[in-house]
Amino acid sequence: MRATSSTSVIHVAHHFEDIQQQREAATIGMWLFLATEVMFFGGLFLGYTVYRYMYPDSFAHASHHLDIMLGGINTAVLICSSLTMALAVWGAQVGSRRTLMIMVAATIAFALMFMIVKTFEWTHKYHDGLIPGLHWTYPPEPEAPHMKMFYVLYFFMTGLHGVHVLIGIGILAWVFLMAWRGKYVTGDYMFVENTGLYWHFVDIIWIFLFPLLYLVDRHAQ
Amino acid sequence: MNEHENHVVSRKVYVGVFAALLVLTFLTVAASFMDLGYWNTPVALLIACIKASLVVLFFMHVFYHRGFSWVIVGASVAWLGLMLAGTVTDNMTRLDERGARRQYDRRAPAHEQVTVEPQKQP
Repeated sequence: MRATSSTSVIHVAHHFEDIQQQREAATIGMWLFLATEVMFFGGLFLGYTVYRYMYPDSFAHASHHLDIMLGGINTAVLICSSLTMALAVWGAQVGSRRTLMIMVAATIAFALMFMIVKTFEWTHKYHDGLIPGLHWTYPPEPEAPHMKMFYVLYFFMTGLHGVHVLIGIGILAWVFLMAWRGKYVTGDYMFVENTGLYWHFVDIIWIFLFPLLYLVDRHAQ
Repeated sequence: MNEHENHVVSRKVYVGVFAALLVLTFLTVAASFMDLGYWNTPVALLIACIKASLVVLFFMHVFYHRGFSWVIVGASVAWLGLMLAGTVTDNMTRLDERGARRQYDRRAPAHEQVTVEPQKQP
């Protein structure tokens, strides 16, 4: 253990030269993980691209069954959560435990709000009989014979994204607990920084899901 | 902690990016209700890419980094692009049994359209 300055005491592992190298390594490790996440979601985006090219009319028709207001609200909610997450990292960096805790709590609140709206949407889809494999009672339409394919992709993409949001809530709850105990504000903020990277990545996935799922050919509605 | 070691981004930048993201969200919804013909999807994707870039550069601090973060972000985007481009070019240039370019959905031949089975009632 070495003190890097008079105000911050940080553990530097023996295989690192100094705190800067340790921080860079943590950032690079997180970015490599996010690269695998890009591939993870990339497969679903690829499937979407292929089937949307094959069945453009069915995809437009199916997309019009999604609630643009709820999707838009959730987009705004996630953007708000990204702002509070960025401010939480700022709080940890400048050593403000109060800012860190308030902003992490706000991020958790926005994340929960997102999941609640999503639950309403998914429940509504069940009532409409638009869940492939579980509850599909939607009458086949001659001009849109492949709506089921859209909803298979819809549930896998929003489902996988939702799982990421839930994992994020768990990690953020951990950050809140440790911040409450006084961690992260004495220079050792890398865990908060990496949680932020994960959270912003989840936001980016939704930034692409929103237009691709909710806004297909809305003008032709 | 030195200034150049770990850049602390100003809160003004975060709020500015936040406002830009909300405006762009509104723009993408508005654009989807306009008939832009072929360009609806490219415009929606362009706006999404601008939003994602803002998040990556400022919320995720890549703008203030040198070197390796850029390499990993670039590699992620490049491999994703390669995977999409390779598959899409295959998918868009396939021929049907008569040797014509394959047409899907509404304009598909009858044998391709009948894929929705009526629900079996128990």
